[in-house]
Amino acid sequence: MPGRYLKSKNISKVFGGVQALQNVSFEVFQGEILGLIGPNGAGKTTLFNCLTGIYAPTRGEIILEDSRRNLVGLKPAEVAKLGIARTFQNSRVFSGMTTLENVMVGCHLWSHAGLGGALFAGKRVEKEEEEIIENSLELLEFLELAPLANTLASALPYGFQRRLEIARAMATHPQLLLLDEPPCGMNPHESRAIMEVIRRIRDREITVLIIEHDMKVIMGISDRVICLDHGEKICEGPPQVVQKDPKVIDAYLGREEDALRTE
Amino acid sequence: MRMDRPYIKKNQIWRTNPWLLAVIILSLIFPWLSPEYYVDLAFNVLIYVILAESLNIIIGFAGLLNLGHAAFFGVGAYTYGILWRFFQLPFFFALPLSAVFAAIMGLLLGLPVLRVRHDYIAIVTLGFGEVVKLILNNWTDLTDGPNGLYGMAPPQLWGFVLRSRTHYYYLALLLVYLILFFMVRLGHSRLGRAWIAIREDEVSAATLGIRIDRLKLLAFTVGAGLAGVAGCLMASKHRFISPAGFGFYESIIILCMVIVGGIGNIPGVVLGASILYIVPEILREFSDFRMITVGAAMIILMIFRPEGILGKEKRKMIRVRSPYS
Repeated sequence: MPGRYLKSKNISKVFGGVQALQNVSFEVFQGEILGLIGPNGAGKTTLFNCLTGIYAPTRGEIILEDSRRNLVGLKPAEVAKLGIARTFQNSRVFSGMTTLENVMVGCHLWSHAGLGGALFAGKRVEKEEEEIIENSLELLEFLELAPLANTLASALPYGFQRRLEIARAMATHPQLLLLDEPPCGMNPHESRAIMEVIRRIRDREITVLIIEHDMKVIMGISDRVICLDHGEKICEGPPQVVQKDPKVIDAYLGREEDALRTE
Repeated sequence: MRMDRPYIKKNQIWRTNPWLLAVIILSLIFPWLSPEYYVDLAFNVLIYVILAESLNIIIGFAGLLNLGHAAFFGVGAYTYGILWRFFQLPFFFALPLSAVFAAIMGLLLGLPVLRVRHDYIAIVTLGFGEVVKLILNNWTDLTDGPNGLYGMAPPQLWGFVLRSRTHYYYLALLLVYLILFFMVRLGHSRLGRAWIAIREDEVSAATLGIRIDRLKLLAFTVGAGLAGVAGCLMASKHRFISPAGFGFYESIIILCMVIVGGIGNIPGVVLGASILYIVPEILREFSDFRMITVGAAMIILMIFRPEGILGKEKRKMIRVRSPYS
């Protein structure tokens, strides 16, 4: 069994009167692809936002195994510094920048040049800048975006913008990458390709936590799957087991009494 | 840079641009070509170029609307004025102090700005501008109130006295080129990229590890510091400053310069500042009608070219050759 990377204990998030997450506990192991499934509104993205510091959970804690750091209460930038990067469900590339520059922004975290560096660019700053470009180009090649390096991000087709977001997140050199529905808005061909990319990301020893509500897609790729419904974890385990779990099937197809009620 | 990437052409910011070359040469020989009155005018244009570019860091790079920029201009001018009044501090000692003091004011204004968003930033900065003007008007022990401060001695550099309009013109020109050089570098640096990322999408930028609050404060600090430089220079040239010169109207004109030229576009903002200063001067003979003309021209410009004369910044730092083109 590989080592544990992160453990979340009883995360709850309440928005006004809405219980978006209710005592969600789970673990993420190093080097795995962990799928997070659930019907719309199950709380998957809310969970991502809690993990990355965009929301502070109402209760609960998220502990990094290595450093014993609790992520709850940290700002997004601090979470990123601890090695967690993410993408968003809707493309959020920096549209006024080129493809390459988008990825270069991702390199901000591990580079250093400040105001002085911009003023008197010395050898060190120049070398760092070259390293940033080198690193970014390598990631663009990895995601097969390199020929579009100089294109404005807003001019990229939607599927490529989603890829760019992954490249940008990877530029922070994360240990854990959170992907929020990467195939969303892609055609079946692109969708298959992106799943292949995710396997190759894992091969780079980056742990991947991926949201997806298409069962077929996620079952083919995940080592383990967690299913959320109405903010609660209803099932966890290997894909084959989760797929057959009656609670999961209920969540996806709707319970009989729900169907009756709407009639 | 690895060489096995055929699509990489070159990585450079500075390309020989005939336009840039022409402008530099023209600006250098300008005092020989024109009557003294126009050299005076050109000095004022340069002051406004510094002001507009410093606001461009705050609005164009970091995306924070600032309606009180003239306050930093005033703080810079009054730093020199007050230091002269009480200590007869020479110009070249006061210049860095003006920058530092204005920068500190920028930092102080930045703190409340961090707590608000979008339109509310405009209100906070507007209020700040008014507060500074009221302080200049009413703290008479320090500023002599509406009477203003005057009589600052001309700058001296190793015995050489900068006295004439031409001297001031070259001093301002030197500062402008330094600042423009600095801004271009800044725009293409790690810091500049982070600022633009914040402007484009704060949440994304934060998840990439960019410390939003720190960088916003830095934008205010740097922008304010540069405006302080302009203030000190202006105070020295005119040998007279009064609170009336640093009010809401100035803040708005500086903002218009940035918008007319193209937000975030460094050469565009230079052009915007020049046009918005020179055109009203040319129209002086129409007296009361000139501001109406300028106002109408700006409305027409915003209808037909809302992104400014030179448009939004064109980012072209990394030249990459596409195999498809």
